[in-house]
Amino acid sequence: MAEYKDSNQTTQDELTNHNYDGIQEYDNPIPGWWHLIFIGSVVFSVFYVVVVHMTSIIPTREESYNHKVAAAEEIQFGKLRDMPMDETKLLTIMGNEQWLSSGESIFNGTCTVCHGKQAQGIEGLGFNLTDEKFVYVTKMMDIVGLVIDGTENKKMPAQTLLNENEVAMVAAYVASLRGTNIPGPEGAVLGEEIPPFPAPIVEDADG
Amino acid sequence: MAEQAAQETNGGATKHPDQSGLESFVYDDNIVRMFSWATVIWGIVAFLVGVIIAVELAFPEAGMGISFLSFGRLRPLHTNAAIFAFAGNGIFAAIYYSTQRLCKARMWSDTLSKLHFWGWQLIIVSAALTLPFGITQGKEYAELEWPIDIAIAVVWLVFFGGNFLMTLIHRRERHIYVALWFYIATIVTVTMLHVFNNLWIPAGLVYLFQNGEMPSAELALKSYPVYAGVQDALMQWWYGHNAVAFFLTTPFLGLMYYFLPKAAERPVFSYKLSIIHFWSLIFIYIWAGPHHLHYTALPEWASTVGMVFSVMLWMPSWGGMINGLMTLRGAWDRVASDPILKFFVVGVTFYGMSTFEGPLLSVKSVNSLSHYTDWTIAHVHSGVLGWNGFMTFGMLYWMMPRLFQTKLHSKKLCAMHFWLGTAGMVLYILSIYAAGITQGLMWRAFDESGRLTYPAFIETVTVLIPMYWIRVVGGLLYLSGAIVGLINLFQTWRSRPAKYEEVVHYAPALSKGYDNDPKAKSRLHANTALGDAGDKFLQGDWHRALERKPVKFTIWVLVAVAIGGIVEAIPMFLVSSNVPTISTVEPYTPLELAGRDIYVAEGCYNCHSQMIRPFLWETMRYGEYSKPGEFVYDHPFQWGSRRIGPDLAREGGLRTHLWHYRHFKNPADVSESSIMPRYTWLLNNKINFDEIQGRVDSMALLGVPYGEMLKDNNSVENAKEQALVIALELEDQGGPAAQETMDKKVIALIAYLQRMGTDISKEPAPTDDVVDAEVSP
Repeated sequence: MAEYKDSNQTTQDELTNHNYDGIQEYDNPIPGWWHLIFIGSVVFSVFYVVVVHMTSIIPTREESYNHKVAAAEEIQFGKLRDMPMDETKLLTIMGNEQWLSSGESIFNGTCTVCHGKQAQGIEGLGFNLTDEKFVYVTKMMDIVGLVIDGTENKKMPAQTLLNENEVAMVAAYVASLRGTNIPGPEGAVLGEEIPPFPAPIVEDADG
Repeated sequence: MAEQAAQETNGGATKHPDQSGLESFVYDDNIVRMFSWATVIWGIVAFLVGVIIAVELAFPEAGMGISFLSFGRLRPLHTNAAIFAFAGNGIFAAIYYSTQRLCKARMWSDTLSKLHFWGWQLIIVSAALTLPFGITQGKEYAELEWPIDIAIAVVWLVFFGGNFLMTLIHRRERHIYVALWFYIATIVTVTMLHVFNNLWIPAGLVYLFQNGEMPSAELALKSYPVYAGVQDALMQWWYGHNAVAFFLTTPFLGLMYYFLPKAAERPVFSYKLSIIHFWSLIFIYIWAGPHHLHYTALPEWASTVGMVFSVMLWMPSWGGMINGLMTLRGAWDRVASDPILKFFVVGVTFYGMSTFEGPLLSVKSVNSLSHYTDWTIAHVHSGVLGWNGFMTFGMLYWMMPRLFQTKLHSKKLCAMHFWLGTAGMVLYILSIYAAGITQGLMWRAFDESGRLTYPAFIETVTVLIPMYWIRVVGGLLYLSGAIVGLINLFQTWRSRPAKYEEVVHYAPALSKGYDNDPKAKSRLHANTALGDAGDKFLQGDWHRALERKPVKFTIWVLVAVAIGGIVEAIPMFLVSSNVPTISTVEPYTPLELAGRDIYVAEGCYNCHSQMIRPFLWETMRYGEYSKPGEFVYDHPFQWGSRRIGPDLAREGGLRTHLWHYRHFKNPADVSESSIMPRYTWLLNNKINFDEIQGRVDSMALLGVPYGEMLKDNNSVENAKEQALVIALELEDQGGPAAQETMDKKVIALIAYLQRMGTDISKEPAPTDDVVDAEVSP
């Protein structure tokens, strides 16, 4: 291992006198860019700690989260936030395509595991929500009650993760499914006929 | 006995016949041959288990509903086999081969070498016999239960560390080479990490002391970490990150520093760089652990420390890459024709890539996208397959023909292994990067009405399946490469001589009073004492003197690696504002605790996190983000690191018992195209109520206020009552008769699931101490 082929003119590198089992070491300096980036990363780190933790230039994790929540509520719910939880609110949502599609999104994230991807029901877990038969519901606001509190016999759990506006949206979406009649699992259709829900309230598209 | 063996084998002390003061010695290559074979064989096992679990993600029925084949139980076997069996035996082979030659001394004790070898293999076998059967501590890469932990500590520190250090002390080479520095750092730090992350209370022994009997083998092997929640998470990722640093990085840098210049027949590029990158690497690495916990309930200051130290780690890591690649200057023409050098070049290049990616992923904003996704999986596989795997194979191809005193059977097969492995890695890594980034972006996507675009978690899973199949192909290629390697090395072994030649080496013993190291002279003309001292320090000659003193060197290493851990851990344990308490958070009921232990045993944390981060897209999907005070009774914490399934932090109460029951029986029944395995055995296996008291008593020893539950087997009665209540509710919801389910494991697990994350929203009980309780914002 004593003979090296120096095809790249490495002869200008100076060897140290070290030799370990035939392994030698050059006395080359550390590349300048190595120092530069290393020192740069240290400077960045100090700067980062000072800016993030010792000044208020950057909002804290909580501040930035709360800010985003507030901004998102405006986008998602708009004037719904000022409406009391009643049938009018649900009908207003039903008359608004965007809010109704939000209701569908909430439904897909929360309800489909028991009521099926198309709300067609899953045998033994959740009823078909698209037919005209109802078990726990006689009027629209009963849907809201079911989402908030679940059923008394615990066959449907309370959906505690949803806020009030989300509950209204998902309840309105469920109400809108009535009569779409997607074929559900085999077996008898359960429940009673109930009076029809009032017509959705369609508002002017200026707001 | 060890001393006796040392006398027999290290009988090198016999003087050279010509009385010139030279001592003769023979290297112990047999132990290196044993470790080398173990490396290849365990490597194939690790890769095979990897392929199996990769198939399970693409095609969940592959697990066939068999408990010990389920993903949650096999994944720890895969990671432990890859890290501790494959890479572990690989570094031992490298260390035993190179240390003897770098020290001009046989290993100090052949007995310790053999104890180390067989002890380590026994540990691996016991891992294979426990992990698939749900015997686990539930902390990633530290899953092995307490008796095995003790065995690891003894084998590692006493057999391996002791033998190594004694060999250093009895060396015949004046200075210790940079490879040995890295080995020292490995031994010292892994010991420290292993011990402090594995402080536990064995539940079986607690029961035995209190009742004079052992209710079950399961409880006998069960232990709870002394840390809970946030503190446990900090300790675990201090350990987990530094297992990467000091098990998969430093020993492999040592390996590189010996085998790469040997194979390239070139001097190492820069001795100065070796010094500075060694010390900066080991000092900085230890701080970086908290970057695994960005945006979790870990306090933000700790997260920041983890991030900035990871960024500062970039250049120290690249120092190793530079020294590796630059050493090949003048040998590049040989890389084209020599597959061994190809393995090393690709290995070092992958090291460079993953140590750039590491700091990148530790930047909080990048991490918010990558965390919990396959991006992390791609990152670790580029490290382990590329850096650890290829460095190991390069070393084996160079070393094993020499150990067998013959030529490598086939250079062609060696090249074939290289190309199979490379192609496998490219397929694996690219597909899994794509999977990770896809899923990360889907989780955070909002539609124009401000709602999640993909509200159903399952949508973000099914889209990955094609990429999971590509990963399977990649894994198969890498595995076939290793099998080609095994055949090639086996054929090489077959052409060995009938008897190995024992080459006798001669070297003088180290004389005392050596003082020939270069002495720096100040280059400054100012001649102030301080200036001169500073300039001498900068010239680095003091380090040359340190290289003659392995014990002193080891102590300095210990100091360097201890600082980061101490600075991060002590405030976390002592400053109460780091974990503000929540008055409504109460201990788990005995049944819930038993259910939690099932959650741990089944390895649910391998696919489900329990940590909601403060992002809108997380809280909209999973509910209020997680608070530190919610985890104070979680021994161990189960925050997870990858969401193959959804987060479960607020799972409690969201679904009915019946839903969970049917989901465990067959997930696809209630969640179409779910890739979760069936857990039918939970429906059939019984809860061992007798041992629940042992579990509760152990928790109480750790400070969990169980009060009345500790008396007269109250826990057992309480658990039975709660199980009956849940079984009756299940029956009422349309499930099987309560008589059938009330003593089954699934009931305990449901009890735990229905509790998860619910305490925070409870009404505080009207007690006196509410005033003292602080609720975090």
